[in-house]
Amino acid sequence: MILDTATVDSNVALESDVCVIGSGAGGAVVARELAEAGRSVVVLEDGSYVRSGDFVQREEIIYPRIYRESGTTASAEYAVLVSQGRLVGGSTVPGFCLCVRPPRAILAHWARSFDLPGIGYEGLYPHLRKVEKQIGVRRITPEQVNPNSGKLLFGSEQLGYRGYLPFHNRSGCLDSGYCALGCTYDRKGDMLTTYVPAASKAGAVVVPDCEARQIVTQNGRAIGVDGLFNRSRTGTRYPLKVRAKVVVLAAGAINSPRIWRASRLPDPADEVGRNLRLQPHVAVSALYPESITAWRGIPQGYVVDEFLRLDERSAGHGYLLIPTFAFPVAAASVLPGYGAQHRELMTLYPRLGAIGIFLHDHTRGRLEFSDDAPPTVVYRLGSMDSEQLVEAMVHASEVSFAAGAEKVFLPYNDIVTIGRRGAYQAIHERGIRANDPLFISYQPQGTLRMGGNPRQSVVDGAGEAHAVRNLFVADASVFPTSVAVPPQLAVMTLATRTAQHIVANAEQYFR
Amino acid sequence: MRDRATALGALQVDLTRRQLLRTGFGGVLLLSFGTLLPSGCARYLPIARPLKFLSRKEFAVVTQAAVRILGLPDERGDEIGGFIDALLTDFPPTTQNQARLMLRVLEHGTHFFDLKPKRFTRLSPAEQDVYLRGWMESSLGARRIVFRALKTLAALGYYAQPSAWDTISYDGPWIGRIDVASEFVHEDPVPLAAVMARFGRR
Repeated sequence: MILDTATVDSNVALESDVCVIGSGAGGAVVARELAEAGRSVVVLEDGSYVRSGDFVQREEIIYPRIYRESGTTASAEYAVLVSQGRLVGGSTVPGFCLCVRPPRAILAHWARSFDLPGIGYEGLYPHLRKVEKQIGVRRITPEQVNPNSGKLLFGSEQLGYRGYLPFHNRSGCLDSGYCALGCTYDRKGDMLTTYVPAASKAGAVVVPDCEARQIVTQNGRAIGVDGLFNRSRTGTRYPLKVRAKVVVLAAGAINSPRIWRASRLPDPADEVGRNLRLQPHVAVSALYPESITAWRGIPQGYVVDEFLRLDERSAGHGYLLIPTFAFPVAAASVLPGYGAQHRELMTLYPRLGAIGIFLHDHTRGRLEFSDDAPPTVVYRLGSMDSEQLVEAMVHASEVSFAAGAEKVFLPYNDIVTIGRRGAYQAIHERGIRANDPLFISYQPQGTLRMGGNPRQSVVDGAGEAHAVRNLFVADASVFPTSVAVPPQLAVMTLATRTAQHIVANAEQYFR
Repeated sequence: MRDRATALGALQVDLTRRQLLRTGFGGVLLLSFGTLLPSGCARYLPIARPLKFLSRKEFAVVTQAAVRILGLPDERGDEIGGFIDALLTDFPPTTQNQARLMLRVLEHGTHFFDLKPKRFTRLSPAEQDVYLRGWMESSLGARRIVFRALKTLAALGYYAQPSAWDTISYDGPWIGRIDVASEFVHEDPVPLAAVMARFGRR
């Protein structure tokens, strides 16, 4: 069941076996697995219960409704905007549905370097397959490649760059293109249409519009969560108390550590909020001779992984090239230029395409905490990552020209144009400086990292806190490094593993 | 010069403070020294349309900045300003406060950054272009931040409106013109009593 918070008119006290904080890719999976195992489960979600009928395909209405802080949270110095969904189903609802398996080399690196013997590919495979089945993972067909993705496909093939039609979790997609604003037609296998209803059917209750304020502990053991309703019948922010035998923190890599710190939980290794990876994204735009209406169709229908160089020892480095595009408001915000030049660029909107660069970053950011505000993201791109991004902009430009682009526009504040193939000096000269280009992160990770050594990590390989019994973390916070690819499947797979660990050790956790 | 140096100093100091660089919608943020600047509206022209959130001064700043940044005819300003005014009414208080401060800083930053005796809204269009480009290309990160935020606000005010879509050949949402229904049935939420019956703590 899902609570109608418009009926809340008093303080609320609940009791369950498990309290899950967050209903996204991690929280919804844990909730379903444990509810289906017969446990009573309460899920707290900061955002609202927004159904497909509310996804009205208008940017100015949707962004404030389903994204945290009305759209984006900026890092200190505004170097990166962090975009996070805030609704039942979390970031999976406005997500682009790319389903890329966590790479073997990354998992091997985690297992080897962070003392996590159970995290190898073979060990996780059964959980991965289960997740893929539940959310309907399938390969994008050639017919589903929209013209913008087709440019990346054609250009990279011309240059001999390795790439593939990726897997996704859509079924019966209509090609409207409004994935980033939530699917009006419920064609995504997001948490809102898969794990959340399944958890509810199995007996879990989802409490939307409720901010988890504090994890309550007693004698070193988690015993519940105190929250505050954002919405009620009277407008009062009533408190909620949930008493539970197990608490699962799955509020994302920015908010999970915030809740940890707000709860004054122990942090003996001083690791909470550190090790932040953002997989920063930036787009190189291109002007084509013909109209490609890049806003229609599946937005990300091809992936180039030629430049992702992974290895077990160091996790490797590199980046993916993935098609990207934006609706008019977001496009006008990120396209470079001023005045008449910007206006002219916008009139070329139907002929514009874009290639997104998703960096497998090694930069370690951190969160700074305060009692009365969301954490501040501190992240300055390191020199190796900066070099990678410069190289990536060159390759994205090269692919665009190979696909027939007339011009390429670099993602700086002012218009920096490349007019012909090979003339990439401007990229090297301009390089990277703080907030120019501006990066966006859809996938923060690593702030409560897992590891076998409690002096270097916050949770163990099962996701259980080293320092607090019966407290688990099940989101991208636990990644020891960047996972190098879109993290949806990795989060869901690890969350499944965590849930099954709890089920298998029920006597220990639920006595 | 001293005013300018003081303002720049404040800017640098504030850049290191944790509360300053938060954004609301797509990057609406501001410089906290804006709180020191005058906020009165005595010298701003009355506006025909009733405003819900913006003051006359803020309306003048945002409309003039938006048409310059987006390269639009001046007459689009009222429409853009009205749209932004309506949108900001529903935004969270932190975003609203950031927007107010940002507009105040922009209006009076002419004195600090370009040493001009006139406020932004009193500059000629050509002077406004020079001034705004100065924010866009500034070596000072905080000024580029404000420009980014302002550009986002301008984009929101203009390109969210159906009247702008024809000019960029965007065909707009499917809803209302392409009849497709979802077959998925989302469950209806239940009243608190139902949850208490099952999970209420005794």
